[in-house]
Amino acid sequence: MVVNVKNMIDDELFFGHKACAGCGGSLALRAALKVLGPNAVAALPAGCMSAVGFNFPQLAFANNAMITPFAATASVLTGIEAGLRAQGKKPDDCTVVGFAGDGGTADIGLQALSGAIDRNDDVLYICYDNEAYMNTGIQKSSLTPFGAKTTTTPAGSNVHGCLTQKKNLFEIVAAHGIPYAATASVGYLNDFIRKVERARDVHGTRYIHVIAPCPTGWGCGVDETVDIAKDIVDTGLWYLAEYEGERVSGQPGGRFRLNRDPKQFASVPAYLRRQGRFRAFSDDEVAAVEQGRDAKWEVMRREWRG
Amino acid sequence: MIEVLWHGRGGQGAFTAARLLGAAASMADGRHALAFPSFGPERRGAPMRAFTKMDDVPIGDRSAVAQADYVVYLDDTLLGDGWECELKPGGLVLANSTRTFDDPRIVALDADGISTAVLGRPIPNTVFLGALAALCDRVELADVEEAVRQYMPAKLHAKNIEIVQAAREAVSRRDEGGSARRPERVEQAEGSPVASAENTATAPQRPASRIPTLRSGALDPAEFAHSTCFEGGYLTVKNAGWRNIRPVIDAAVCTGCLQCYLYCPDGAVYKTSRSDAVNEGSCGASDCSESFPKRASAREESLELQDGVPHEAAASGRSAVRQNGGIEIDYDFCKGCGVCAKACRFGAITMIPESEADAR
Amino acid sequence: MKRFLSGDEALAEGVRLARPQVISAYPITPQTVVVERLSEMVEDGSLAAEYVHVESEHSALSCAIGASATGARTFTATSSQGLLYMAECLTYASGGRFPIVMMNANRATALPWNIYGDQRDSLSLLDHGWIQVYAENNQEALDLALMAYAVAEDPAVRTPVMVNLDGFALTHTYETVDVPTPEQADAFLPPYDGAGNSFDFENPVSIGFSAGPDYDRYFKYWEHRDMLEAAPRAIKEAEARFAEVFGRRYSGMIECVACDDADVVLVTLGSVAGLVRGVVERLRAQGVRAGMLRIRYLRPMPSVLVATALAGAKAVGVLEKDVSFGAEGTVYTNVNSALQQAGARVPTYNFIGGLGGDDISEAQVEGMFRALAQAADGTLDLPHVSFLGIDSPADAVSEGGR
Repeated sequence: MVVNVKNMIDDELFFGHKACAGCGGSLALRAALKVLGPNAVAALPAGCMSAVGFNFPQLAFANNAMITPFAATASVLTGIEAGLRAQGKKPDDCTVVGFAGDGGTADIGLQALSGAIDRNDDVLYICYDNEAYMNTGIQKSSLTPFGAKTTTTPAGSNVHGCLTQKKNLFEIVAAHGIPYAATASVGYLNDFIRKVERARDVHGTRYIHVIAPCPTGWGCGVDETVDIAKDIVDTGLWYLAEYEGERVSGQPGGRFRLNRDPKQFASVPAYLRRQGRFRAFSDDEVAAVEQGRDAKWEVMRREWRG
Repeated sequence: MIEVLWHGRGGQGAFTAARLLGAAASMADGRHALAFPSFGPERRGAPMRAFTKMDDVPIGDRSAVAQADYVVYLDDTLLGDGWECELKPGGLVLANSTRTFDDPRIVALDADGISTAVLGRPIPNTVFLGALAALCDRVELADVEEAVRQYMPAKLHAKNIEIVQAAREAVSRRDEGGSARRPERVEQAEGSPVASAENTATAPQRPASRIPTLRSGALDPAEFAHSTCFEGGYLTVKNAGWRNIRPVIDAAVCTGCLQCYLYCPDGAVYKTSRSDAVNEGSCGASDCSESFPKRASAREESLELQDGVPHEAAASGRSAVRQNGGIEIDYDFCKGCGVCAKACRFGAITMIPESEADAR
Repeated sequence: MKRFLSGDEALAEGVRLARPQVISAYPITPQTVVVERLSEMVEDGSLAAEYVHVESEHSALSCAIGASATGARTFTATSSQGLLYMAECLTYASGGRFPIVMMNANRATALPWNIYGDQRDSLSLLDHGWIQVYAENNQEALDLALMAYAVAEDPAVRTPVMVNLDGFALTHTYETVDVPTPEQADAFLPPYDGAGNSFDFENPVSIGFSAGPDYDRYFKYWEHRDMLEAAPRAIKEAEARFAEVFGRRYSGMIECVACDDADVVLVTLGSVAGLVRGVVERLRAQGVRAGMLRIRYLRPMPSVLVATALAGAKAVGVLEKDVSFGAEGTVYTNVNSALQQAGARVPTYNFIGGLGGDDISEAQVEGMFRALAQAADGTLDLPHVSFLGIDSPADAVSEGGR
């Protein structure tokens, strides 16, 4: 059954949380759990969603959920899955799912994630990427994009924000030969929902990287979350793609697929200028961002089609 | 010791004001101050507190202020029942409000208006620095101005000093005139169990079978504290207090397309009945052809085509859902972000101020 | 069945008998043999467990935490830097009240890099909420693997247990061990019932949430109280049942050797007790009223038992393979606190030795007893803290030296 807005469960498994108004991460969690259902077991490391999701006695998960050490999302998932299986206690419709932020995934949690993929543990790992350490108040992570102002990459007259490029985590994960990996954005929620559903039904390790804007950290209106998450895809600065490992795709080395290939990109300057974090960008720097995008798309269009 | 308790919403600058006040009050030799925020899991928009303590001797007590000489509300929707408990005898409440109050202990100040006149948008926090300079002997206007110069970015100096001066004058004038009335209304702030009770009383039942729900039982540490394992979905407070604007659905325009329901980060939009009866192939089935957030006309004909794809589900969903009462908003947990209003391509959702909602 | 096993192997045999359902394993000297043997047991089918090859110690304990949260019996093992690397997770395991059993091969901590035995690793993490028990020999190591689960999983305790084996002195030293039958082990140790602290698909739970200033203290208070009060009771019960089933009786949280009328008592932790035991016998034969107190469980701290056993002595020495830099040995601090609380005015002296695998000799042990006796009668000015083999008067008193 294809899950859509009409037939999705009425249950709200993540509800009553203390996330900021307009939080993209909380939207990603809510939507994913609507696909995975009440028998999902969720693990969340230190980060926004655990901080706002279970602060005793305000416990916003209606399904089983637990907090993990910051670096340990994937290894706790492994333990949960192994424990349930060892005892024969895992319901057929139980997905063991992790929700970690960009820092918790691409920085401190990367080793454990790599280990879980290496073992091909039967878990789903969802990275809600808001492009900085938002729980501690907007510090640079390795998924912060070039030029973004954070509280540790100030935009001054000498340096204009983050100097490094966003780490290409999707392809790093795919390089493990993972059965299934995908990128998504809360701006294209139906695409995300479809990918969660696809991931739910694949055996082995699955990874979904979903862009989830943070109005507080990005410097945009709280009502713009979804709009801007759509914009980042339409500009080509993010892309909707999937990777299926060899076993799933039947193709040696696995197969990438581009899910959306805009004939014309939306305006990068417009996307950047609507966010406070890119305010210091010079026109040259904006042009460099567009060039980087074009180079990336040239490769994706050549190699990820069909 | 003079203690100031600041109430605001995350992002309103309550702590910035608390800090500037402390800096001003400790500017002179032999003057001391502490300023600190309350730390909690709540986020932008949520009620939060900050504190300033001022004295002639170094201050060792770093605990939160329970009773203050001045209690400041940057947002008058936070001024609710129990405000008196936070006030020392002889203390004053300073509220950002255009209302008038029947109690001499409450000083209303149109801080939004004062700041908007200077900045072009309402940033009420520094208004109260001027107010306190007028009301509190310990706070000198010159020191407040110096604190602004030392601790705010240079480009903000002139305008904030202008705000501080305007506020000081407004309060001085008011003091001379003197008006005192009882509090206009009494309500609970910060998501207490009775907040928005009027909304829940009339709202239809949510269809969800599994959803975190509000509980009110006493919690005994000897029971719960032997593990960190507790019943999931156990809620003790609402999020209604976070909001100063709210979405209102125009049933006449709503098509029942459910995009507001889909995109609500808080799950605060809900269906009042299952819409299973609606045709398969909903408006969300075609992943990457979503037209959100483009706005279409509310006219029925526009539903026939959506990005060239027949869009019967939205049309049929409209009748099905409306017939059953359509969708509702759970105002106990809506934070007023406005994502739903943007998601509605038919313009069926309007964001209105809470004060206006109260008046309705 | 009698077998000649190293401490690592004996411990692994004990773990097999305990039937853990999930094992997370990461190698580190001198623990490695444990995870090797367990992998063989899983391979040959004699142990039905999920064996997870984690990529670090941090993940080893995290994985065990996740598994324990499902109600599974779990085991992991580590040592030294590995223990320090997972230190963050120790408090998650104890605060979450997950009855994980972990073997720690006591080993020196860097720098200098050193793979040999001392007790700096576990003692530096004494305050992380785990029950800590120290084995004297390989038989006790095997038996503790079973008893640790009985204690950890006791519904009133629900606290992880760290079973400490001295690196090399136990882990790599072979001796005769009686390996019980699976039937005996099953009679002793029932399956773990994680109800109330594990996921429940009928009534979902949140596990390991955060708690603010209004609530946190209650969780910490009961974590403390349950270890302090419930664990000693559970240890006593486990040892009584163990004696019934296996015929071997242990002495509780401490073991006293000739303490009752002793003038000089040496407090020990771990395998060095075997050496001290022999010296006590010899000195007694020579008319020296010597005694030994072996601390088996250092958490919960058996303060009353320690103070009672030591109160009548004229001088007490605390021998430990550890120092809290800039202060004194950690065991010494704990013993002093116990004596002070009991109002016992016994002079105490700290002997720090065996660091980084340095052997402690019989002559040094005798030297410590003689130094204590001389300090008691006022003929030796014994410093409160001294290092064996460097500046301890015990070395000189021991004549032949090291």
